[in-house]
Amino acid sequence: MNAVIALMAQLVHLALVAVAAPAVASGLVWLDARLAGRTGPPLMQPVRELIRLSRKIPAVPENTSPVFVLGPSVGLAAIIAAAALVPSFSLGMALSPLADGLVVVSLLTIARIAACLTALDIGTAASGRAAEARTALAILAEPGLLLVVFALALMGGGFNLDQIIGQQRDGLLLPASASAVALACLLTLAFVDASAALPDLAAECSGIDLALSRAAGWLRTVVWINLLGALFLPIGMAGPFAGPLGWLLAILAWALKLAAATLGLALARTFLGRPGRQGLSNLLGITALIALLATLIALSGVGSA
Amino acid sequence: MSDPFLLLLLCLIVAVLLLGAIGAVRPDRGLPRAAAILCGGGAVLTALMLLFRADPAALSQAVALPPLTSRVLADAVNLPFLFALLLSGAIMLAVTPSWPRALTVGGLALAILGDGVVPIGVGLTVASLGLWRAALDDRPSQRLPSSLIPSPLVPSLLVLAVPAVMLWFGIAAPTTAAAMGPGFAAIRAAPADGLRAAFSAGLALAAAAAVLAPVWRPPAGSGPERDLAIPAALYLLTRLLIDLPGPMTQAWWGFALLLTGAATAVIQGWRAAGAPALADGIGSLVRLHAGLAIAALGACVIARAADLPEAAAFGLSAAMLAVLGTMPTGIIATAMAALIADSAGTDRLARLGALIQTMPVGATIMAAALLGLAAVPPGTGFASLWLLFETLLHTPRTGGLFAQIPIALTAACASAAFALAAASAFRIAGIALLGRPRTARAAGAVEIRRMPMVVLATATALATVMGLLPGLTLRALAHPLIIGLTGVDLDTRLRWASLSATATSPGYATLPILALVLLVTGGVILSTRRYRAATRRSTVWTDGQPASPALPFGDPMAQSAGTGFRPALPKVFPAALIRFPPRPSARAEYAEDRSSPLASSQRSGRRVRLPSARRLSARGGLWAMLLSLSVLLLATAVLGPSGP
Repeated sequence: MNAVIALMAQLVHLALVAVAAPAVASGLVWLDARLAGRTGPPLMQPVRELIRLSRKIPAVPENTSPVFVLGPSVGLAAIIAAAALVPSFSLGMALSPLADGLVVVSLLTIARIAACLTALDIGTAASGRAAEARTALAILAEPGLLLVVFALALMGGGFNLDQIIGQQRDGLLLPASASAVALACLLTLAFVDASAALPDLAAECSGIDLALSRAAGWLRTVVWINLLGALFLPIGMAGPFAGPLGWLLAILAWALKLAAATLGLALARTFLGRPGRQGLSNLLGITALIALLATLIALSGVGSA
Repeated sequence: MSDPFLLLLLCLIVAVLLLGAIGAVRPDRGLPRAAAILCGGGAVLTALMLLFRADPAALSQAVALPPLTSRVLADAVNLPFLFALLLSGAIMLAVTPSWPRALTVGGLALAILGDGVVPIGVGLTVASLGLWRAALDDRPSQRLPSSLIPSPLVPSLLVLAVPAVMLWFGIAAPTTAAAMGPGFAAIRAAPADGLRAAFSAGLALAAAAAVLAPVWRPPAGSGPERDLAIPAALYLLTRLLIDLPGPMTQAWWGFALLLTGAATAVIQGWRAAGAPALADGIGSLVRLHAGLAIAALGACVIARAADLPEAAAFGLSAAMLAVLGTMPTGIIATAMAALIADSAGTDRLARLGALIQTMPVGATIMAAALLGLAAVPPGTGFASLWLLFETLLHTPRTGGLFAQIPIALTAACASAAFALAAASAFRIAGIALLGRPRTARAAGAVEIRRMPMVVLATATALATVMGLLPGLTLRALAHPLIIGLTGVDLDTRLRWASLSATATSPGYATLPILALVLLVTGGVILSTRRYRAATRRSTVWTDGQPASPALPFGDPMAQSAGTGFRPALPKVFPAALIRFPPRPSARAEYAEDRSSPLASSQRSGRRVRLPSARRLSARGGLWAMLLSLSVLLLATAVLGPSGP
């Protein structure tokens, strides 16, 4: 029975994430436009574009290998797998034993690698430059993210996300200062991921491949928001056996968090702008140093506990 | 029961050495291949001894001088390292046969099998001779880079100096004598004092550093055999810093290892992300993982000193997974790089491309090996990194904030190594295997021959299985070592396809994660299949520029050459403190480039001054090496009292 409930929670979570991804993407585009004083596209525009793209006949450049066809699918699959592991509204989902923080980070890395390999397989200057820029940024961003996960694991006693979130819900994720510093890092990384003004990796793709790449980008944003919400604001999250009413309330709380995060992201993008490559590099360097500080605080905090 | 196995193992290793020596006199490609078969047999025999938990066995043989009793030993500590070395050696000798490599493998195997300082010193010297001769192969001038000159001398000197210098200072003379005669068991059983232990640790660190020196700073022209020294160096560290000191282990040894390994991983990762050649990039990736393994051993030492056996067991597991899984994977990639260089005429990334179309099997093997080195699931690299993070999570929290700084720095370096390993491996795959061919020779590359294909495909399959089943790999090949050195049975935490921190907590499950990703990928492909029913082939878009008839493969500069994957360092980092090394072969590339100022100045007759290394002739080096070995053995014989 417990397994059935956990499986149901997992399926509901996946369905919610699938719905939330285009909603957040649409909301971000619309909010960006409104905050810039423009009317903005209709809310359903990104979804319509996805449908339009999927109906187009995809063009496959000469000399490409099967990697070009498989890359977008593998990238989207890795992001879906990461999204399935990061809890949204409920703990104790069917896949929660697999939800290791390091694994989630590596799945995000696999998704990026798949997109970069697709770009390199085309063999054009623009796609190569895009892959180089994205990788160079990731070399700076991923250490910060891993360090945040390590600091949280130090406080939570393990890398499992459910375990860390459970302790955060019960107020046991101490010291709070380390938690706050880690939150600052994760917010910065999420902002950089959603705002980096980098060349499009999927610029040379078309049709369904481009649609898959776009969908992967949307899902990535939702994964970031879920990570932030679950790790640092687990208010309203349902326990493993909360029942239908508990789930409903938790879904409402999650929707609120999603809306707040979307608004916050749009505000940050509008008022902070989109930093250039050197700016991004500096920002990520500071983030890594702050993550190191969080790790040190966590280490000393655990030591004194 | 295990004595005959040890005798057989010793015979195999001696036969490999003999084949190498015969090859020196009468070069014949058949001899190294025979050595490859012997190494493979040795690897199988070692694996069987580990699988069936053979009892420790020792054989002794007095050599010319009475105190120099040469003993060999097969126990839980050295067998896993020997397995990794022989497996790697078999792959290398089968794919790129040469007699110096046979000598290197045989010498290193003898050093690992040795019980006491004499066979270790002799083995390291023979291995260094092989390394040295291999570096000469591609050097018609018979001149050697200066960085290789001390390689035959320093490791042997340091290893042999442990008992000799202790005798000189009068520290625990009877025990020192025992170190030359009866071997490790006597050292382990002898009463130890802090000074002796610290002195031995310092020498052990120096010996391991000397073994790794030619690996860490590979001279131009040195071959892939240099990476074979990594398992031997890690074995020396394990034996001399973890096994022999026993309760006298001190935490500062671990901190030294931790920081050295972490810094090595980042520096090598940085090199890998910008290496211009296939072999350089792969070599740096292998050394990145070696650095992580050293850091894991350091964490193990710290945990042992703090009497935290479980954390020590995790550290040892991380190091052993790197040795057993990642090192052979690195040798596969290195051997494949050599085959690619043969087939495509170059191993420069900027001149390769589209190898997946011209040599699909070879490219697939290379891609699988790079996945193992990339530190992403389901490769062994990620499993090893995961265990390292778990070890850091469970390291002792004593000593205040000052003692925690190395742990935090190591976590930061391991995180950076993760990002750099992934970026470097995919960079190599993306530039060399994918895209369009950048030169006519790359476009004409042919598939590798059947024999290397079978060897490499089998080895790749084995390495992949090790990555998919990290728990089983450790339980089968390193379990006695972990129990023997830490006293912890990790059976409940090292399951077949998963690793976990405690018996009840979830951890990293390889097969379920792989199944999840494959399931979703399959679902995505199936659900989008109908949208791909009609695809059209299009020409590559070159920003509207017509293709030049002079460049039938397109403008090579229009594709990424892999030079922009390293980021600009943030200005927040103090540049004076972080001085990353330049690309290893930048000078060679500069000299090769006909459009460079160097080439143009040479054409114009102007003299260009470039730094040149001090060199020693091969003959002079050989004499120096033999002379130093004789002096060392003589000094040991004179200083040590008679054996038992």
